[in-house]
Amino acid sequence: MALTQVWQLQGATPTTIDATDYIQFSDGTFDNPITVSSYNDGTHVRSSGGADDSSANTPNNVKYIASGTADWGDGTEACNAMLDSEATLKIAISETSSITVTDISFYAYDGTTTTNAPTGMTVQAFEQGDAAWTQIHGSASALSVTDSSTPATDHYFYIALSASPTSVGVKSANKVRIEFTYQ
Amino acid sequence: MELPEAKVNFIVGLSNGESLMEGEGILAKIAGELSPWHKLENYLQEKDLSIKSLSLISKTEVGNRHYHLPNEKGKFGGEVPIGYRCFRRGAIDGLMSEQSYELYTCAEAIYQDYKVQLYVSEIDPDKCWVNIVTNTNGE
Repeated sequence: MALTQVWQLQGATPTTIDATDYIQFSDGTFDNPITVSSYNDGTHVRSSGGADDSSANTPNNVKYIASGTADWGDGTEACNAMLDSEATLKIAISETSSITVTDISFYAYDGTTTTNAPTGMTVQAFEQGDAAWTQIHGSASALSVTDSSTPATDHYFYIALSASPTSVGVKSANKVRIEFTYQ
Repeated sequence: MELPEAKVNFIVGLSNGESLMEGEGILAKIAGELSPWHKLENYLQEKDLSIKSLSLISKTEVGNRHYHLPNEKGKFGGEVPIGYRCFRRGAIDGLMSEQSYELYTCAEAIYQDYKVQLYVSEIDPDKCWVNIVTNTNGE
Protein backbone atom coordinates (compact mmCIF):
# COMPACT_ATOMS: atom_id res chain seq x y z
CA MET A 1 0.00 0.00 0.00
CA ALA A 2 1.16 3.49 -0.74
CA LEU A 3 0.64 6.66 1.24
CA THR A 4 -2.91 7.34 2.41
CA GLN A 5 -4.37 10.57 3.68
CA VAL A 6 -7.70 10.70 5.51
CA TRP A 7 -9.62 13.79 6.63
CA GLN A 8 -12.18 13.34 9.39
CA LEU A 9 -14.66 15.78 10.87
CA GLN A 10 -14.45 14.92 14.55
CA GLY A 11 -17.47 14.57 16.84
CA ALA A 12 -19.10 12.05 19.13
CA THR A 13 -18.31 9.74 16.21
CA PRO A 14 -15.88 10.88 13.51
CA THR A 15 -17.17 11.38 9.97
CA THR A 16 -14.71 10.53 7.24
CA ILE A 17 -14.67 13.13 4.50
CA ASP A 18 -14.53 11.00 1.38
CA ALA A 19 -12.96 12.12 -1.88
CA THR A 20 -16.20 13.52 -3.29
CA ASP A 21 -17.50 15.00 0.01
CA TYR A 22 -17.37 18.63 1.08
CA ILE A 23 -17.14 20.25 4.47
CA GLN A 24 -20.05 22.60 5.02
CA PHE A 25 -20.10 25.53 7.41
CA SER A 26 -23.59 26.64 8.40
CA ASP A 27 -25.46 28.84 10.86
CA GLY A 28 -25.96 25.72 12.97
CA THR A 29 -28.47 23.93 10.78
CA PHE A 30 -27.36 21.85 7.82
CA ASP A 31 -27.72 23.72 4.53
CA ASN A 32 -28.53 27.03 6.27
CA PRO A 33 -26.22 29.86 5.22
CA ILE A 34 -24.09 31.94 7.55
CA THR A 35 -24.85 35.65 7.73
CA VAL A 36 -22.17 37.77 6.04
CA SER A 37 -19.34 38.62 8.49
CA SER A 38 -20.49 36.00 11.02
CA TYR A 39 -18.66 32.75 11.66
CA ASN A 40 -19.92 29.17 11.55
CA ASP A 41 -22.20 27.76 14.24
CA GLY A 42 -22.31 24.38 12.54
CA THR A 43 -19.85 22.17 10.64
CA HIS A 44 -21.05 19.22 8.58
CA VAL A 45 -19.92 16.75 5.94
CA ARG A 46 -21.99 17.14 2.80
CA SER A 47 -21.97 14.31 0.27
CA SER A 48 -21.79 15.02 -3.45
CA GLY A 49 -25.49 14.12 -3.54
CA GLY A 50 -26.31 16.77 -0.93
CA ALA A 51 -26.83 14.51 2.10
CA ASP A 52 -25.62 15.38 5.60
CA ASP A 53 -23.21 12.51 6.19
CA SER A 54 -22.39 13.75 9.68
CA SER A 55 -25.98 14.13 10.93
CA ALA A 56 -25.83 11.18 13.32
CA ASN A 57 -22.31 11.89 14.59
CA THR A 58 -22.72 15.11 16.63
CA PRO A 59 -19.90 16.81 14.68
CA ASN A 60 -17.56 19.28 16.34
CA ASN A 61 -17.86 22.94 15.50
CA VAL A 62 -15.07 25.36 16.36
CA LYS A 63 -15.95 28.99 15.89
CA TYR A 64 -13.59 31.93 15.52
CA ILE A 65 -14.26 34.49 18.28
CA ALA A 66 -11.10 36.62 18.28
CA SER A 67 -7.42 36.19 17.46
CA GLY A 68 -6.64 34.06 20.52
CA THR A 69 -10.06 32.69 21.39
CA ALA A 70 -12.56 30.21 20.02
CA ASP A 71 -15.80 28.51 20.96
CA TRP A 72 -15.98 24.73 20.50
CA GLY A 73 -19.21 24.35 22.45
CA ASP A 74 -18.17 25.36 25.96
CA GLY A 75 -18.26 29.13 25.47
CA THR A 76 -15.29 31.32 24.64
CA GLU A 77 -11.93 29.79 25.55
CA ALA A 78 -8.29 30.36 24.73
CA CYS A 79 -7.25 28.58 21.56
CA ASN A 80 -4.48 26.71 23.34
CA ALA A 81 -7.04 25.12 25.70
CA MET A 82 -8.49 23.04 22.89
CA LEU A 83 -7.92 19.29 23.18
CA ASP A 84 -7.15 17.02 20.21
CA SER A 85 -10.67 15.60 20.39
CA GLU A 86 -12.22 19.08 20.27
CA ALA A 87 -10.58 20.11 17.01
CA THR A 88 -12.63 20.29 13.84
CA LEU A 89 -10.39 18.05 11.79
CA LYS A 90 -8.27 15.00 12.37
CA ILE A 91 -5.93 14.47 9.46
CA ALA A 92 -4.19 11.13 9.17
CA ILE A 93 -1.18 10.51 6.95
CA SER A 94 -0.17 6.85 6.85
CA GLU A 95 2.25 4.56 5.08
CA THR A 96 3.03 0.87 5.44
CA SER A 97 6.67 1.67 6.22
CA SER A 98 7.69 4.13 8.94
CA ILE A 99 7.99 7.65 7.59
CA THR A 100 8.44 11.14 8.94
CA VAL A 101 6.10 13.97 7.90
CA THR A 102 7.53 17.48 7.93
CA ASP A 103 7.22 20.95 6.37
CA ILE A 104 3.45 20.81 6.61
CA SER A 105 1.38 23.77 5.52
CA PHE A 106 -2.40 24.14 5.50
CA TYR A 107 -4.23 26.91 3.70
CA ALA A 108 -7.26 27.96 1.68
CA TYR A 109 -7.13 29.51 -1.78
CA ASP A 110 -9.41 30.51 -4.62
CA GLY A 111 -9.29 27.07 -6.21
CA THR A 112 -7.12 28.22 -9.11
CA THR A 113 -3.94 29.88 -7.88
CA THR A 114 -2.48 28.69 -4.61
CA THR A 115 -1.04 32.10 -3.72
CA ASN A 116 -4.48 33.73 -3.94
CA ALA A 117 -6.85 34.20 -1.02
CA PRO A 118 -10.16 32.35 -1.09
CA THR A 119 -12.94 34.30 -2.79
CA GLY A 120 -15.80 35.77 -0.77
CA MET A 121 -14.86 34.31 2.56
CA THR A 122 -12.48 34.57 5.48
CA VAL A 123 -10.94 31.28 6.59
CA GLN A 124 -9.20 30.84 9.94
CA ALA A 125 -7.38 27.82 11.37
CA PHE A 126 -5.14 26.76 14.21
CA GLU A 127 -3.43 23.55 15.20
CA GLN A 128 -4.10 22.02 18.59
CA GLY A 129 -1.69 23.74 20.98
CA ASP A 130 -1.48 27.02 19.06
CA ALA A 131 -2.24 30.23 20.95
CA ALA A 132 -3.95 32.04 18.08
CA TRP A 133 -5.81 31.63 14.83
CA THR A 134 -4.07 32.05 11.49
CA GLN A 135 -5.97 33.58 8.61
CA ILE A 136 -5.00 30.97 6.03
CA HIS A 137 -5.38 33.01 2.87
CA GLY A 138 -3.09 31.56 0.23
CA SER A 139 0.17 29.65 0.48
CA ALA A 140 2.13 32.61 1.83
CA SER A 141 -0.23 32.83 4.83
CA ALA A 142 -0.47 29.10 5.48
CA LEU A 143 -0.84 27.55 8.89
CA SER A 144 2.47 25.88 9.69
CA VAL A 145 1.68 22.50 11.23
CA THR A 146 4.12 20.90 13.66
CA ASP A 147 6.53 18.38 12.16
CA SER A 148 6.04 14.74 13.00
CA SER A 149 9.71 13.82 12.99
CA THR A 150 9.70 10.41 14.64
CA PRO A 151 9.35 7.62 12.07
CA ALA A 152 5.96 5.91 12.33
CA THR A 153 3.40 4.36 10.04
CA ASP A 154 0.61 6.71 11.20
CA HIS A 155 0.76 10.45 11.80
CA TYR A 156 -2.17 12.51 13.11
CA PHE A 157 -2.78 16.25 13.02
CA TYR A 158 -5.59 18.13 14.78
CA ILE A 159 -6.77 21.38 13.26
CA ALA A 160 -9.57 23.82 14.08
CA LEU A 161 -11.18 25.45 11.07
CA SER A 162 -13.65 28.33 10.96
CA ALA A 163 -15.06 30.40 8.11
CA SER A 164 -17.04 33.55 7.53
CA PRO A 165 -18.60 34.78 4.27
CA THR A 166 -17.70 38.27 3.15
CA SER A 167 -20.44 38.27 0.51
CA VAL A 168 -23.68 36.46 -0.22
CA GLY A 169 -23.58 33.18 -2.15
CA VAL A 170 -22.09 29.67 -2.22
CA LYS A 171 -18.27 29.65 -2.10
CA SER A 172 -17.65 26.24 -3.64
CA ALA A 173 -14.86 27.34 -6.01
CA ASN A 174 -12.47 27.71 -3.08
CA LYS A 175 -10.23 24.89 -1.92
CA VAL A 176 -8.33 23.89 1.18
CA ARG A 177 -4.92 22.39 0.66
CA ILE A 178 -2.43 20.53 2.80
CA GLU A 179 1.16 20.25 1.61
CA PHE A 180 3.74 18.04 3.28
CA THR A 181 7.07 16.35 2.88
CA TYR A 182 7.56 12.71 3.76
CA GLN A 183 10.50 10.35 3.52
CA MET B 1 -7.42 9.14 -0.40
CA GLU B 2 -4.70 6.66 -1.31
CA LEU B 3 -1.88 8.01 -3.39
CA PRO B 4 -0.27 5.64 -5.89
CA GLU B 5 2.91 3.81 -5.03
CA ALA B 6 5.91 5.91 -5.93
CA LYS B 7 7.23 5.23 -9.43
CA VAL B 8 10.31 7.39 -9.09
CA ASN B 9 13.05 5.91 -6.93
CA PHE B 10 16.40 7.17 -5.71
CA ILE B 11 19.84 5.68 -6.33
CA VAL B 12 22.77 6.71 -4.15
CA GLY B 13 26.47 6.26 -4.64
CA LEU B 14 28.30 5.95 -1.32
CA SER B 15 31.78 6.87 -0.13
CA ASN B 16 32.79 3.16 -0.04
CA GLY B 17 31.92 2.75 -3.73
CA GLU B 18 28.62 1.01 -3.03
CA SER B 19 25.53 1.86 -5.04
CA LEU B 20 22.09 1.39 -3.45
CA MET B 21 18.64 1.70 -4.95
CA GLU B 22 15.40 2.47 -3.13
CA GLY B 23 13.22 -0.61 -2.87
CA GLU B 24 16.04 -3.10 -3.39
CA GLY B 25 18.39 -5.01 -1.06
CA ILE B 26 18.92 -3.31 2.27
CA LEU B 27 16.67 -0.45 1.12
CA ALA B 28 13.66 -2.69 0.48
CA LYS B 29 10.32 -1.21 1.42
CA ILE B 30 8.80 -3.56 3.99
CA ALA B 31 5.61 -2.96 5.97
CA GLY B 32 6.31 -1.95 9.55
CA GLU B 33 9.99 -1.24 8.95
CA LEU B 34 11.65 2.10 8.42
CA SER B 35 11.17 3.69 5.02
CA PRO B 36 14.03 3.17 2.55
CA TRP B 37 15.39 6.69 3.16
CA HIS B 38 15.49 6.23 6.93
CA LYS B 39 17.10 2.82 6.46
CA LEU B 40 19.75 4.53 4.38
CA GLU B 41 20.35 7.14 7.07
CA ASN B 42 20.88 4.40 9.66
CA TYR B 43 23.18 2.48 7.33
CA LEU B 44 25.31 5.56 6.70
CA GLN B 45 25.62 6.17 10.42
CA GLU B 46 26.43 2.55 11.29
CA LYS B 47 29.09 2.27 8.59
CA ASP B 48 30.35 5.85 8.87
CA LEU B 49 29.64 6.48 5.20
CA SER B 50 28.45 9.45 3.20
CA ILE B 51 26.51 9.96 -0.02
CA LYS B 52 28.63 10.96 -2.99
CA SER B 53 25.93 11.01 -5.65
CA LEU B 54 22.14 10.99 -5.84
CA SER B 55 20.00 10.23 -8.86
CA LEU B 56 16.34 9.48 -9.51
CA ILE B 57 15.16 6.75 -11.83
CA SER B 58 11.75 5.96 -13.22
CA LYS B 59 10.49 3.44 -15.72
CA THR B 60 8.12 5.08 -18.17
CA GLU B 61 6.29 3.86 -21.25
CA VAL B 62 9.09 5.07 -23.46
CA GLY B 63 11.93 3.61 -21.40
CA ASN B 64 13.90 4.36 -18.26
CA ARG B 65 14.41 7.95 -17.18
CA HIS B 66 17.47 8.95 -15.17
CA TYR B 67 17.73 12.31 -13.43
CA HIS B 68 21.10 13.23 -11.98
CA LEU B 69 22.22 15.84 -9.49
CA PRO B 70 25.73 17.31 -9.54
CA ASN B 71 28.23 14.97 -7.90
CA GLU B 72 31.88 14.68 -6.94
CA LYS B 73 32.88 14.28 -10.58
CA GLY B 74 31.90 17.90 -11.15
CA LYS B 75 30.86 17.25 -14.73
CA PHE B 76 30.96 20.41 -16.90
CA GLY B 77 32.33 22.32 -13.93
CA GLY B 78 29.40 21.59 -11.65
CA GLU B 79 29.98 22.54 -8.03
CA VAL B 80 30.23 19.51 -5.71
CA PRO B 81 27.43 19.36 -3.10
CA ILE B 82 28.21 19.00 0.62
CA GLY B 83 25.23 16.68 1.12
CA TYR B 84 22.16 15.08 -0.40
CA ARG B 85 18.60 14.29 0.57
CA CYS B 86 15.61 12.65 -1.07
CA PHE B 87 12.00 13.19 -0.05
CA ARG B 88 8.48 13.21 -1.43
CA ARG B 89 6.31 16.28 -1.51
CA GLY B 90 2.55 15.86 -1.54
CA ALA B 91 -0.25 18.38 -1.89
CA ILE B 92 -3.87 17.40 -1.38
CA ASP B 93 -6.88 19.58 -2.07
CA GLY B 94 -10.13 18.83 -0.33
CA LEU B 95 -12.79 19.92 2.14
CA MET B 96 -14.29 22.60 -0.07
CA SER B 97 -13.86 20.61 -3.27
CA GLU B 98 -13.52 17.07 -4.49
CA GLN B 99 -10.17 15.71 -3.39
CA SER B 100 -7.27 15.79 -5.80
CA TYR B 101 -3.56 15.50 -5.32
CA GLU B 102 -0.10 16.31 -6.60
CA LEU B 103 2.90 14.17 -5.71
CA TYR B 104 6.58 14.60 -6.51
CA THR B 105 9.81 12.88 -5.65
CA CYS B 106 12.57 15.35 -4.95
CA ALA B 107 16.32 14.80 -4.99
CA GLU B 108 18.16 17.60 -3.22
CA ALA B 109 21.79 18.64 -3.52
CA ILE B 110 22.88 20.66 -0.50
CA TYR B 111 25.41 23.48 -0.68
CA GLN B 112 26.64 25.84 2.02
CA ASP B 113 24.19 28.63 1.24
CA TYR B 114 21.59 27.04 -1.00
CA LYS B 115 20.01 23.81 -2.14
CA VAL B 116 19.25 22.54 -5.63
CA GLN B 117 16.00 20.59 -5.69
CA LEU B 118 15.15 18.35 -8.61
CA TYR B 119 11.44 17.47 -8.60
CA VAL B 120 10.03 14.65 -10.73
CA SER B 121 6.27 14.22 -11.01
CA GLU B 122 4.89 10.94 -9.73
CA ILE B 123 1.82 11.46 -11.89
CA ASP B 124 3.88 11.90 -15.05
CA PRO B 125 7.53 10.98 -14.41
CA ASP B 126 8.49 12.41 -17.81
CA LYS B 127 8.06 15.85 -16.25
CA CYS B 128 10.55 17.47 -13.91
CA TRP B 129 11.75 20.88 -12.79
CA VAL B 130 14.45 22.41 -10.63
CA ASN B 131 14.21 24.84 -7.71
CA ILE B 132 17.06 26.66 -6.04
CA VAL B 133 16.27 27.55 -2.43
CA THR B 134 18.19 29.15 0.41
CA ASN B 135 19.88 26.74 2.81
CA THR B 136 18.71 27.94 6.20
CA ASN B 137 20.78 25.21 7.92
CA GLY B 138 17.80 24.19 10.01
CA GLU B 139 17.04 27.68 11.29
